[in-house]
This record gives sequence, structure tokens and C-alpha cells, in this order.
Amino acid sequence: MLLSVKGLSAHYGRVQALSSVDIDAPEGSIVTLIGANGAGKSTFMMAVSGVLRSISGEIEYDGRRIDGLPSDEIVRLGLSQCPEGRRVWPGMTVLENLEMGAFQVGDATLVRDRLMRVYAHFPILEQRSAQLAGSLSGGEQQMLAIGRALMSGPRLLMLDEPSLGLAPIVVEHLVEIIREIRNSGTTIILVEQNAFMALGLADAAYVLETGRVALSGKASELLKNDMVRKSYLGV
Amino acid sequence: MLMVFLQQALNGIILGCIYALIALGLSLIFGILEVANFAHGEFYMLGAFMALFSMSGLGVSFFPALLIAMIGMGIIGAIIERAVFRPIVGKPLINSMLLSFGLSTALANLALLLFGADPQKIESGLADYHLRFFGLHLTAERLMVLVVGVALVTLLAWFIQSTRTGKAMRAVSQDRVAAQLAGINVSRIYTVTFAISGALAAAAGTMVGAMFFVSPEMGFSVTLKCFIIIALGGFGKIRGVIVAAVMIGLAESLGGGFISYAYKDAYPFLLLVLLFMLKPQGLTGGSGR
Repeated sequence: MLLSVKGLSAHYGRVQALSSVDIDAPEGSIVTLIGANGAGKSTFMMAVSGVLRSISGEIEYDGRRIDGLPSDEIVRLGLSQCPEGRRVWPGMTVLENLEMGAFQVGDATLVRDRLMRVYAHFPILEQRSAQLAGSLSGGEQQMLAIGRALMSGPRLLMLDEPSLGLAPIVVEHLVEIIREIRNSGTTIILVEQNAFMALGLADAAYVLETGRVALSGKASELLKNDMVRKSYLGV
Repeated sequence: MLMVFLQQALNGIILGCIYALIALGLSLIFGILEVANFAHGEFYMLGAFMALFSMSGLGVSFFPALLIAMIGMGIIGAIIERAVFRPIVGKPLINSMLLSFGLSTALANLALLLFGADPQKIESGLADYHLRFFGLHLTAERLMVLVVGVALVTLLAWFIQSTRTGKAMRAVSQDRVAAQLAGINVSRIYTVTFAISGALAAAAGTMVGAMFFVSPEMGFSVTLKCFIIIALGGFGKIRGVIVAAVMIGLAESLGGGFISYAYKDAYPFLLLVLLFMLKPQGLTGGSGR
């Protein structure tokens, strides 16, 4: 297991957002978390990234405990997150956004290589490299956010709602990119409300409901599950 | 009449340079840590005393003393960030306002206790050289203030625009969580921000100490004026803050020269009231960052 989470609980003030969640991500796989708004998907991501500190339970990455480590340390270990809502820095250029994604990377040639790889995935970012990120369209900002998360050279990439607000044709492109990233050896945890897209893409899936894992299994099996079909696929 | 106007305008620009150095630091702290530092004027006051004592105690000349004051206040600024402000980052603004008011009073009174209330002067050795051009009069000391002020502001703008740490500072100010997720050590950026702001305030204090006097209460009115400047210039906007600082310097100098010197501290506030009535979106407009 590249990432193994056991008994993870988290709370905001007195509100319990996650209660005793177990989630595993084997190396080289795409694991998806699906669930309604407020089910705890983003909370899970922020807890793993070390941004949310009020947590209990165990988070093991590559054989070592990372719960309690500061967020920059976690990025250095090879775990990177593209957060919900893109969160690009609007007053900085596209290039600066990408450079800052490689903040921990000291080697300039390595940064250059990764930049070229991101531009290969998203050619539009190269065209817009000198533009302020705030002036990009929603889809372009999403590409920038994913590109920025790739700049640290992650072994585990966590994508939070990458398809949110994107046109269907852009979502198709996104699916291709996510596959490519996985095929290049990066493990992916994908949080999605678009359950149909996520289950089609993932190897394993977890259904979260009010902070608990309600259901888990192979993505292909969950696609056929009655409860999933009714609640999340609308069929 | 015209000559008096130009002379006062020149003095106002020099004053504006001083205000820009202090207000830029305050604006950085506000933008990056999202705390209000009402003790910023005391950083400026302590920096001035540091330069004064380096000269009288260590016997160094003016420019090394300026450097010592900047480094010293940089370190003290970093320590104050870690010890005082770090625990309240992310809390509502009222926390930092009350805390820094307390810190301001404590530092000013500590200085009063240790250094005494008598105003003292920093001798730059440049005040006796006079420059005259187009009928205007400028001492070498004021020219030095102008040059050092412009140089430091330019250096800061370059640092924030072009260096890795500067870019990380902008990233933290625009989205702290995104900065954390990118692997930026946000706490380190906070410390660096306070160090830079402390050093800039110390430079301003030292130069004011040379032009006028150093005294424990010199920081109070400066803090308020610099909050006006960052309100006018737009929070976190470097260019806006510089423009506003020069405007406040001009208002004070021209108002003092033509209306009455007794009210010189009131003109910046009048300008603020006027500007908010006429242009409530601020100098640089509401949009953009």
C-alpha cells in the first residue's frame, strides 16, 4: 500500500466531519471517493495533506506515519493535492503558479523538465504562461491547478473535484490526462461528485456518507451496485 | 510663492519615502499574516535607538549604524513574530489589534524607562553640506534619505517580484491553504515577512533620527499614519502604498507650509476622509490585487 489510512476521525470545532475512516490506495492505482456534499471527502484530503490538524487515527504513507507532519514535509515526501475550487493564485502568472508548485524542488533542470511535461499535458498553459492566473477560464484554471500539483513530482496525487464546473468536452480531456498521469507511474486519489466519470476511471472506490465509509470495493462492481446506481448515478 | 511650493513639495516627497518604508512593511504583514501590527511604529523607534547607540556605543559611523539597526530590528521582528503573533494567526483581527496595541505600549514605555524621554539626534555628518539648484535647497542628508529610501523600496519590489521567497510571500497572501499544499513552509514565510518589515522600519527610524530626533514616543503617530496609507493605497498593493505614502507626505508638508504647521498631523486624516468621500473604492480601484 502506498497510502493506508486507519481509523481516521476529524472534526471542525464540535462538528464531527470524519468518523473512523479506513481507506487504502495501492501503488499505481486510481482510487476514488464518491459521496454527496458534506460527506467528508475534502476533509479527508486536507487531513492527509496535513492542512487539517485536529485529527486522530493513523495515516501511513510508503511505510511511515505521516499524521502530525507539517504540510510542507508531506509534499516533500511525494504527496501532492490539487484542491477543490482550483485555488490558483489569481494575481500571479501561470508560470509563477507552476514554479511555486515546485517550491520544494531545488534542482532547476528537474523543474524545467517537469514544466515541459506539464506543458505537454496542457499546451494551453504554455501559450498563457505570462498571463495572470485570475484571467484564465475555469477549465484553464483547473488545468493550471493540476499542473501545479504535478510540479512537485508526486508519487501520490490527490485530485479534489477536478471536473467541477467544466464543460463535458473538457471533462473528457481531463479523464485522458488522469489516465496518462497514472500510466506514468503516479498513484491517484480522485474525489468526485461526478460518480459516473470517477467509477469509470478508478480501480477501487469508496462511498462516503456523513463522514463514514458506507461502501467500498472494486469500481467496476460499485458501478453495478443498486444503492450506488440509485443514489449517485441517478439510474 | 512658487519656490516655497516646490521646496515644500520636495520635503513632502522625502517624508513620503520614509512613510513608504514603514507602510510597506505594515502592508506586507497585513497581507501575509492577516494581522494588524499596531506596534509597527515601535519597530521604527527601536531601530532608531539601535542606530543611535551603535554610533555612541560602538563608535561606528552613520551608514554602518543604519545597517546594524536594520539587521538588529530584522532579528527582533522575527522573534516578535514567533513569540507574539504566531499563536494568533488565523484568529479574528481583533486579537492582533489588541495584542499589538499592548505590545506598542509596552515597547514604548520600556524605551522610556531605559533611554529616557529627552529627544536625541543621530549625527549623520551630512547635514552641513548644502545643495542648491533652481533656487531649491536640499541638505546632503535629505538627499541621502531620498536615495536610500528609493533604493530600499526598489530592492523590496524586486525581491517580492522576482525571488523564490518573494513569490512564496505573494502566494501565501493570495491563498494560504494553496501555499501549504504547494509545499511552502508558511511559518517560515511569516518570520521572513516580519524580519523584512522590521528592517525597513529601522531604516526609516534611523533616517528620521538623523533629520529630526529620536524619542520613545516617536512611533505612535507614525503607526496611525501608515495605517491610513495602506487604507488609501489598497491593502497588499505595493505601488498603491508607495503612491499613498508620497501623497500623505505631500499633504503634511504642503499643509504645514501653507495652512498651519500646528495641524500637520491632521492633514493626512483629512485627506483620508476626503478620499473616502470622493473615491470610496480607494486610489487604485476595487478590482485586481
